[in-house]
Amino acid sequence: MLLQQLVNGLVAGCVYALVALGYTMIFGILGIVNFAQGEIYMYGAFGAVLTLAATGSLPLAIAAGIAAACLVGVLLERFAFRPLRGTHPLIPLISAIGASIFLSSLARLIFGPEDRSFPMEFHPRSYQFFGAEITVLQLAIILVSLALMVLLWLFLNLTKHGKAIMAVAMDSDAARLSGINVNAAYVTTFLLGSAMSGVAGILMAMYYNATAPNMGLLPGLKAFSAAILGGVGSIPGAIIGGLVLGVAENLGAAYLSSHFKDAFAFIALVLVLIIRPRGILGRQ
Amino acid sequence: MSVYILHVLIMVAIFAVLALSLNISVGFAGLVSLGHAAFFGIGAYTSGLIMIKGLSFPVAFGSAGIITALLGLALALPALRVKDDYLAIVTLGFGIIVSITFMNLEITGGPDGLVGIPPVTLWGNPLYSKPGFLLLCGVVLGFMIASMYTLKNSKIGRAWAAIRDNDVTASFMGINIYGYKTLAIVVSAFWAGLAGSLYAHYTAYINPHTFGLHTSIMILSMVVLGGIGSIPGALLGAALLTVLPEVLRPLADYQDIIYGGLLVAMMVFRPQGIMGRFKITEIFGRAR
Amino acid sequence: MLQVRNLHTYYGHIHAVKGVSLHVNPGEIVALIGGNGAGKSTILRAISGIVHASSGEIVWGESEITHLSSERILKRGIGHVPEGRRLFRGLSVRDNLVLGAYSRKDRDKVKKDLTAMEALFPILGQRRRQLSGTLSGGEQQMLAIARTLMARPKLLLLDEPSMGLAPIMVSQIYEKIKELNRIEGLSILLVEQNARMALGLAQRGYVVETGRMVMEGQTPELKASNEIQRAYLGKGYREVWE
Repeated sequence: MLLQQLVNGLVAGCVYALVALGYTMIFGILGIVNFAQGEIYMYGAFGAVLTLAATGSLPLAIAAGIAAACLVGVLLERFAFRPLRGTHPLIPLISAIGASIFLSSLARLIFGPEDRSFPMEFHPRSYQFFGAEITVLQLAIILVSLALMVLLWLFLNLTKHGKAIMAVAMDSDAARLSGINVNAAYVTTFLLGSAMSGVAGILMAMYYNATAPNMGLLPGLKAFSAAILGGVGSIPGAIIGGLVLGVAENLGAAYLSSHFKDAFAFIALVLVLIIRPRGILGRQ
Repeated sequence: MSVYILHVLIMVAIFAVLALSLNISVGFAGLVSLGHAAFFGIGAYTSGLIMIKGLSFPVAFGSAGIITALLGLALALPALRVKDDYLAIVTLGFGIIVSITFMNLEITGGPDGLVGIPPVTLWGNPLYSKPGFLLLCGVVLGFMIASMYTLKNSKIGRAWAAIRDNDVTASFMGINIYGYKTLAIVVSAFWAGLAGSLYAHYTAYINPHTFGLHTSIMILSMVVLGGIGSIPGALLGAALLTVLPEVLRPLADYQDIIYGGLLVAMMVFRPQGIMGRFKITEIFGRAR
Repeated sequence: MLQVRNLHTYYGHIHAVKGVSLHVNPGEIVALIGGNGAGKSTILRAISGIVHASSGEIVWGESEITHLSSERILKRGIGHVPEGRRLFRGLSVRDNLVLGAYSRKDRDKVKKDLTAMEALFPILGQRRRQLSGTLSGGEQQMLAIARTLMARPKLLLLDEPSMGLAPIMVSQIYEKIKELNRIEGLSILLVEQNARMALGLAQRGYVVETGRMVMEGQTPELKASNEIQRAYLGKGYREVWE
């Protein structure tokens, strides 16, 4: 039983981690909380679902979903955040909230409020181990997420451009003086974060079989809590925060109270901020 | 006067009290709260439950204010220990936790909410008439506006302004920043609780969805739109954001799209709000 | 080579730099001295594009660079080692150097330059993989200079290299700077609060006070001037090492 909850928690955790990475990168580099991250996730899901329904091709659907998410991210950066650079943090925060409301109600208008199923059957096969069961889809989610995290890590730590992005996060003026195009770094960060959230959305569309305009709100907030839990601005922190949150949530729901499942993320958030504000892996 | 217009005016009055209450913590003291609807809800449920149990309106009304204020104190004590930037997030978390709690407790009626809340009774007579209720709201609002101006121009208000501008400097000047910040949250919670009480007895039925994140954001928007720290601004913001959805009712599908777009546009083009005289950086001090 | 004409900058409402003009010829070391908050760093930051120049011109070679972005200015050959080092503290020494060459496309030459930097500042080779934030003050300053040098600038804007460093370290660093100027022909505009050291190195100097240029001239004249002696060199200054 416990192992099963761990498995379920790991699946949820991987998805939270992907979105949390988006939050943490954007916060780390631009210093803003992108409250619309959940909406990027949602548009990724819709992009995939609609493309799959229209073309029947899964690879195309996934590409379309990621593209949709990235497009939303880039537009957000350009119109809701770039004009506000250098202002008091409250201003982009409210702008992000406004953007989030705008994007989700726009989706509701265009796509309608109903849940949509994922137009594809998945292999019902599952694997048993030590009394727990893991479906092929769950396994796929975990593996894809881990792969993306590894790729991101490789990009940031081993490539010149990745290091440049980290440099911008550390000291944007010094980065400028080293010849790094800071604007390009910002846009790239948004693209990376959006792509990850988009994939997360697509995976969840498959997993829960329910794609709807409001699907991004709660996971977005929870992923945000995960990012803070792990240490905002820290990439490994976002991953650990996401995984810990996913597991804790499922364990909590199973052993403490299933009604309050959604509250666990926020209780963790408040506790972390009060007890150890920099999170698990956060530096100063 | 038509029943509909009276209804809208009553809503404006209630939300005006709510917006002004948020203005105390955000506008006067510089403490951003993304969970204010939680206080609104605590006041509403408290007052509703007390009258359902058979006690009188004054008791319910007063308790709503006091209990909400106490919960505000309970929030402030730990929450104010975090760094400024994170306060907004803590209040966000708090607000969500409270709304989930409303949704899941038996005593609050769970997701279906509380039904059959008795109306306001004054001196034994239940107040069913809308104009009468509007008058009551007007009185409460009037007291509130008066107390707002008094506070703003008092020693407390000046201490808050100093803290808002730069709390480190304020502490060097000998101001007990922790105490004053706590006071701001407690007073802000008190009035929000009263607003909740009025709301509960007016609508006779409350459910947890009214007191969630969306409402918290709306209240913050009222303050920001009107101009942070400005008392007439908060009134204007409350009026606008209560009336606008009614006016735009035929465009119901587009309402939230307009609302969201309005917030973004506001921040890009005029972050100091309609009545705000200063740029936000001047109100909150330099961007950190 | 570098010409600054009537530069004005503002910090909010504050008029930080008030009509400053200066120039640097190829191969020169020019000192920019003055008290705390005089605006010296701001002048450098306006040249390198970090701070916006509200009026005036900055000319480099043939072209005007007043409003160019920092990245473009670096590509044209002006490197700025900022005040306070401003290293990428979470990255290794090697990574800092690599990022210094970010704008360059010639990968083989970059590799050679990495080796050259480590030869010029041996400590950087030894601590190649160490996090730059853990280096000592002097080592950080050397890394900061090396990082900017990786872009192969023709003019180096050096902002307060001696700040917070022990005198021995400062002498070492100044030695390297002298070497770079002599061997590579690197022009240097040196901002220093430590006027004594700056004038010991430079051929010419400018004195800035509260945003204005108050004096300029060849080093010997400046050193001999009574005002400079009293204000910056301490009464009873003696030519200690001449």
